[in-house]
Amino acid sequence: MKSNYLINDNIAVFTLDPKDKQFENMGLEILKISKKDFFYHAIFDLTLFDIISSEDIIFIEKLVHILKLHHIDVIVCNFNVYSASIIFHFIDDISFKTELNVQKAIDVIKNNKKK
Amino acid sequence: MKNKIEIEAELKKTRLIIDAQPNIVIITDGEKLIDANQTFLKFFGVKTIKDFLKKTDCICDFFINDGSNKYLQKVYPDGTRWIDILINEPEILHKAMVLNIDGEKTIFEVKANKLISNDGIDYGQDVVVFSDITTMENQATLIAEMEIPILEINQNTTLIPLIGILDSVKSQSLMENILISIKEKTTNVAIVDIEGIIIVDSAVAAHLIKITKATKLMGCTTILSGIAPEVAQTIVNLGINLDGINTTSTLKDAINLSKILENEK
Repeated sequence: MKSNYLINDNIAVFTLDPKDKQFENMGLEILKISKKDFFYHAIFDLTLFDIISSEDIIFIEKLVHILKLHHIDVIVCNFNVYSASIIFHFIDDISFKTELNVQKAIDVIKNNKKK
Repeated sequence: MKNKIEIEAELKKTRLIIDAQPNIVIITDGEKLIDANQTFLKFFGVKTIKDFLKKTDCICDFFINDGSNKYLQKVYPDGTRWIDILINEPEILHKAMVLNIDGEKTIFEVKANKLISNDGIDYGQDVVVFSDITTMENQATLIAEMEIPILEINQNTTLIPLIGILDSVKSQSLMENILISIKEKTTNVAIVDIEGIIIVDSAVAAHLIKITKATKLMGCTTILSGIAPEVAQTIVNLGINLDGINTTSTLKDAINLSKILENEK
């Protein structure tokens, strides 16, 4: 796995690397990390994606679904403006939660925890 | 049977009616001007048709092509003449940009009919009417070029009041501007007020849905406000699904809803 990650307060922030699209066991690898480092929430940071294609969305949705099976809540963030403005010409909808940036995603998770 | 005097009187009367038209009315065979009314002569600053014909044969020599393909051309690359386009495609709105005597560009709506008598005699000539729509066109261009403002209501909420017509080009540029604004101002809620949109059809609804989804991708919730009862009815009749999109009838309701959504976050 080329993507970097950081775990703090049961929240894992993964800076997804576009090269990992080729890595078939990405979901499995993240689940292994969750077992080892114990996190309930994951944030997927898309900063490294210059352009987000429909294939990338399928890749992210697959990861989100795998983590959902283990009750790990995922928020995807840092979509760039260009990709966000064109992606819905190619796909109908997305099924995962989104936030503007990592900080906002962490705020949402922490607020939900308080509730 | 009418006598010669009666026929001449009728012809004079018909001529007066044609000359009184505020629109330019001409008769042409597509290449050469045959007859025209007073408005035509006034527009080109000539006293008689002969004076005009001394300069050039056809009004089409004054057509301007700005490269946008919006306006009629004298001859198209495939050899089709302007008059053929007018006659063969009567259902399309044809426009011509013409230079007047002062060198000003005037935009006309152009319509043509074949000159055929009641008993079916084809004179091989066409009647063409040029209606001046310059003011209308300039206003439409001005509205189209007006940038849609993105107003900050508070630290986390922006308001985007839409007016006029929302086409795909305008919608794409609007979407990009909203997304840039969300990124720069870290907006949580965007209120898109559609009260000023003239027509809400399936294409406009599709644009609005795309904008809503794109803003969601950037972590921003969009509220569509100003949905008039007629628009609500049209949306339902067109089978447009706005499920999952926050909608309100008034801007006031949208602002109240934005506060609730803000607190939920």
